[in-house]
Amino acid sequence: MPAPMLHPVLKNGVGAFIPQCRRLVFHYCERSGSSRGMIEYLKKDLIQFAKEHPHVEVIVTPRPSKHPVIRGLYLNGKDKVVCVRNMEPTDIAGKVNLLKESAGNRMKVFKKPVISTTESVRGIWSPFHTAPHKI
Amino acid sequence: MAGVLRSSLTPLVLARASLRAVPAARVCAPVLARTFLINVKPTESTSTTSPTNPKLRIEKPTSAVVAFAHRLGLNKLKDQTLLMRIVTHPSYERVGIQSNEGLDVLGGKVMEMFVLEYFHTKYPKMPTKMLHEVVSTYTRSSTLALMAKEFGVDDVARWVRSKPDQEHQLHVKTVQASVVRAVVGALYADQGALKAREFVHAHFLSRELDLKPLLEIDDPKLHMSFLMKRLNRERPVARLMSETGRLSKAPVFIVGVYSGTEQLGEGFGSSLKMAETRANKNALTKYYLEEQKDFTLPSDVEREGAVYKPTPIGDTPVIV
Repeated sequence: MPAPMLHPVLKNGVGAFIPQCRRLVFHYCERSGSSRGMIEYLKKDLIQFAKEHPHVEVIVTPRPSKHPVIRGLYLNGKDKVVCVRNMEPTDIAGKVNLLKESAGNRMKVFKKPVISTTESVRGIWSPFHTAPHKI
Repeated sequence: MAGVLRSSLTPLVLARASLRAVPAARVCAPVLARTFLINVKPTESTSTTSPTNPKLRIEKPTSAVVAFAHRLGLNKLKDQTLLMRIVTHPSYERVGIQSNEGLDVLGGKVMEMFVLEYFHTKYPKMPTKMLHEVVSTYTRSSTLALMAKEFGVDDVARWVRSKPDQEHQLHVKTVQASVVRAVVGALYADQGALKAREFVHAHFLSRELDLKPLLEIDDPKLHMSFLMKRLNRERPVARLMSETGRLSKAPVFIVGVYSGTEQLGEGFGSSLKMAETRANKNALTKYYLEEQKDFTLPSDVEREGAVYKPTPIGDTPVIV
């Protein structure tokens, strides 16, 4: 049976770090009250954010008669959507930051203290490599 | 009256139907440029003709391409017109648009060279066949296609699908691999060998690959005896170091391979022969995959004020 094809596995951050958020889409409504904070954010803070994070493509689109929404798209093909209805610009900035820092994976509970692909330095204990018990 | 009402109602009904069509499109398999943008056309790149050559179009990079460039550090390229060129596959034939073919070829060779010199210097005794396999694992199209997905090449690559009746079907992986190679080529051409090497080391060599399965030896025991003969050392002897459950359903034997009093390798197994084979394999792995810890690469000579220190060249593998 032929051996399965081996591929070198990515370890993001070891050599170079590739930020996982590739696009943020901002939807707002011109008329509805729930978009008031969003519109203020778009006018005040968004351009500065876009300048500081040139690796993220920022798209702003009106979406009439709907609540304001921010959609983050990631390199693993997944997306995260956050509704920011009735939020103030500072809270919206917090949500934008959350989406920007995220990696597109589902939120997981990590039960183990260490997750690693490399073996332990001292090796796993073996009964065959210990000295026999002496009294 | 009824007729007037009916005619005024129909536009509303039509509008609602068209709005409802959008969520339906979102439910199917995501092709992100189309599904997650409502009423937004993907930003087209604007272009003007080059002042020197009127047939050549200089394209302003799209926002997606700019983001892609910043993600990989290509924003530091002196010639920013290279960006659109990197992501354009030759299948995307338009008048005045250049493809990434040249950069692809250049980048492929550069990438292979840097990966090869690294492994050749770090593992001087690695057998040549294995060295070729290691380099190919890092630089072949399937790996590059995987890397391309992690770089986000999918939404920036410009290419045209083959027609169904064409005999050679262009695969998306070929396009993805060409873009990755073109990135390396562009860095090499624009920024020089050292910057290209930095990129290759950071993105390719930082990836994890277990080398032990790539060392393929048919008969480790026979190979070991030939190796000891070549090294003018005592012939290898296998000794049982410890065991348990010999007559049970799950025995464990630990066998060590010795040359005189020095242990060369150790292996475990559920039979004596299995443990001995594993011990010989372990000994050969330790010998052939001996790592150099502090080493200077031949391409370090490109650095300013560098004095070239010849790297040690290991022995060729034993001929069995």
